[in-house]
Amino acid sequence: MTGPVHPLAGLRCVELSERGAGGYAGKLLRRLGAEVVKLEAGEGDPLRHRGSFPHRADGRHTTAAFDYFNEGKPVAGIATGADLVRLCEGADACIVDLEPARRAALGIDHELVRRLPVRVVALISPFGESGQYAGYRGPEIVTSAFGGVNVAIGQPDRPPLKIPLMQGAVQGGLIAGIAVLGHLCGPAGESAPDRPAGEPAVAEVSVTDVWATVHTGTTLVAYLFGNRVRGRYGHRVLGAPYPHQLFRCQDGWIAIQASEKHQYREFLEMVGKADWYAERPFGSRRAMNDEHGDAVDAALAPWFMARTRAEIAAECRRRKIPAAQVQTVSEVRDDPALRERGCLETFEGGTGVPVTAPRPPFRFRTASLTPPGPVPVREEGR
Amino acid sequence: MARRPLQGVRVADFSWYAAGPFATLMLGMLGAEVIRIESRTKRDTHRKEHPIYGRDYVPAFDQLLSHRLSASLNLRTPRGQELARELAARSDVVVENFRPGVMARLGLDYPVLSARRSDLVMVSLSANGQQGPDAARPGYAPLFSALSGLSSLGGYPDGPPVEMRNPMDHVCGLFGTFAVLAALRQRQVTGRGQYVDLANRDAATLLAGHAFVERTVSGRAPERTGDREAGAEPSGVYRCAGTDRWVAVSVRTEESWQRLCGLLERPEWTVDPALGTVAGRAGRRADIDPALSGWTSRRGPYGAAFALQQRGIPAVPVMSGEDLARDPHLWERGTVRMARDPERGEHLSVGPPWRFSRSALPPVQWSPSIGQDNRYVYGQVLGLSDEEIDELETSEVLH
Repeated sequence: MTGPVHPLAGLRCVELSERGAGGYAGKLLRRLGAEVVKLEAGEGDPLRHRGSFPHRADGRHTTAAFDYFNEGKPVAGIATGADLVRLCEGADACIVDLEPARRAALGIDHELVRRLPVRVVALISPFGESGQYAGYRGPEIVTSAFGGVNVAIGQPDRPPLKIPLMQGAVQGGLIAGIAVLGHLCGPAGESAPDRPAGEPAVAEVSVTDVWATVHTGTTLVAYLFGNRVRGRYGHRVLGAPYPHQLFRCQDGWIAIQASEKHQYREFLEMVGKADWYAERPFGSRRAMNDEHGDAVDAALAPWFMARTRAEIAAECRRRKIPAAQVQTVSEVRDDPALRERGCLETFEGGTGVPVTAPRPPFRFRTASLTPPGPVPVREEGR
Repeated sequence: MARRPLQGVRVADFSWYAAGPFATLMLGMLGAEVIRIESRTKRDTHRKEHPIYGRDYVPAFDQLLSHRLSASLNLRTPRGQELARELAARSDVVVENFRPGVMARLGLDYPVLSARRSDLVMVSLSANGQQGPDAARPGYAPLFSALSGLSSLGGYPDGPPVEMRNPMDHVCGLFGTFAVLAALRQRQVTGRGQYVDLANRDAATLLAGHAFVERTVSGRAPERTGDREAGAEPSGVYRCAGTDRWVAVSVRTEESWQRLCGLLERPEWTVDPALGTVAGRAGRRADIDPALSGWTSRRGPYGAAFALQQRGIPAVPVMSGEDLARDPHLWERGTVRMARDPERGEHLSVGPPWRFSRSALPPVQWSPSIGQDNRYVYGQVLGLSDEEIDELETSEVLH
């Protein structure tokens, strides 16, 4: 039996999104073969105007974030929750990422959600549907700060930072997509033995929960299991064996993580400090990192500053030391290895200009992704 | 009791370190039976002694390797490899993240395994993919971040890039879960299995996705913006009373701006047309940020956030691990909960990143000790007798 070309061929999904997360889930589902229709309420997805990197050309207005999350989707407008019910007819899944207050204004409450004629609904919100902060609003910096991510990123004497761009949208979208597919693809989802007829399973995704649980490696897990509070450490990671950091060199920065003993030994030989392995002038590798990081870096700076990223990367490669140049987006875009692997793709952006972006990372043996498509303009589908 | 979505799906989990185990952690939380194959002859990094935490494994272990069974198996022995093939033949899914070539060397690659079970789904996670000049190169989370372009964007606008810890591993794991589920869906329709090659480097590049769009349109590489958010002003973290205490604030709408002006007792700003837009306020950052900081610095982060949220202005404390572990919202939702074990006592644990209407939260599970489920896996799943299992343990095939 020959399978469908695309893994999710035959699935239909309706996406009502305004915050990126729903759009990202919809993007991945669409590229895996599902038929995804994007709905926009009222004035439309605010990401068209307020997202990262706005652009305007030929009377069109879009943002890079909107383009990236929504390429290839047909769009339709809705005015109320009743429209959502109507447009979900025949679909398998519905993904909604509007904040609770915004949903309420459209008449999309939990009772209406239970009436959606689909098999599963993913409700994405900043703080979830329960708990004392359930109604709180939460853009990117708010959800990641509450999720415990920011406190450990940045310089110790400066304010905490978030991970750049819209990672809350990405994380929330990934989890929402997983929750939807889990219901549609597993044995229980197929037979749905405990699902009352006509009522969808509801998967609730709180973006702050996603940060606090999936990404607990940054902060929460250290406290939960060791009562240790991890702080910011700039270009290094507190609690890690040296070296686990970024090094400044002649033309930028290079990341090196020599966790294993043999890697560490090679690292010391590379930078001309082989005697440190036995003499341990700064104590243990963790003491080197946590207590003497600046002094160690200063001792190694002449070696690094005499070389370029490429030279150091080549030497690390020869010695099998895990290392990578810190590349700008332009450098990544022009990276021949990435292009050779077909990791980048081009589609028509929201202002009609062809744009290039990374393709989803899945490589199937006997299936393919659907191709990227043009970014929907506001008028389409109305 | 309601079934969980993947109940009835068995996963043979050959993964180690972080990205692979994260993929199978999600599958376990969805209800799959995840059987971790591991050996005392080559322990996972999370099984090794850790001097800081004073225990024989790192704290992440209890989160990362929970929700699964453990079967000990020495894959260096021919009998161990054969048992692994038999277990794969009785599983729906195989997940692994050895370096490319290792599974083939062990006789556990997809052509071999799918010959025994044609509907097997197998996902291989690796640093740089299964093929190509970089396939054999190892990789860790900070390296993927550096190669993806994301590191170059992380940091203060006036400073160097900063380390962003290890979310890369987690994200690659989530893409791995996604791949498994998509392949299971295809199997539902076709009855055939699937193999998925997933490169962590490729997955990490997606995190910088729309920066590539910006690069194409503007012709310039985006630069570091610190804690500023697009489309919001003021936006960022503001110092509060206490040591290293901060509140995150994001003002996106005109309504929020008006309310903030009231809170800061700056009525003249509400009628200043130049401040009616995000761009206008960005131009007056030198006036607005000190006023907001002055207000927050007289309050604790919870008090400041509560006062702002009461006025509909998005704001939260910048949470530390201790804050998260004590937060009533997270306890109420089961995001943080207590794990109890008759032998190991109590400690805090974290829940799954979702809540399902038709199934309860998965039970709190401790991470397994090596081989604790050998009797079930080799006895009930593979059908070996107790005597055979004893012999395999004595000969250190199950080790």
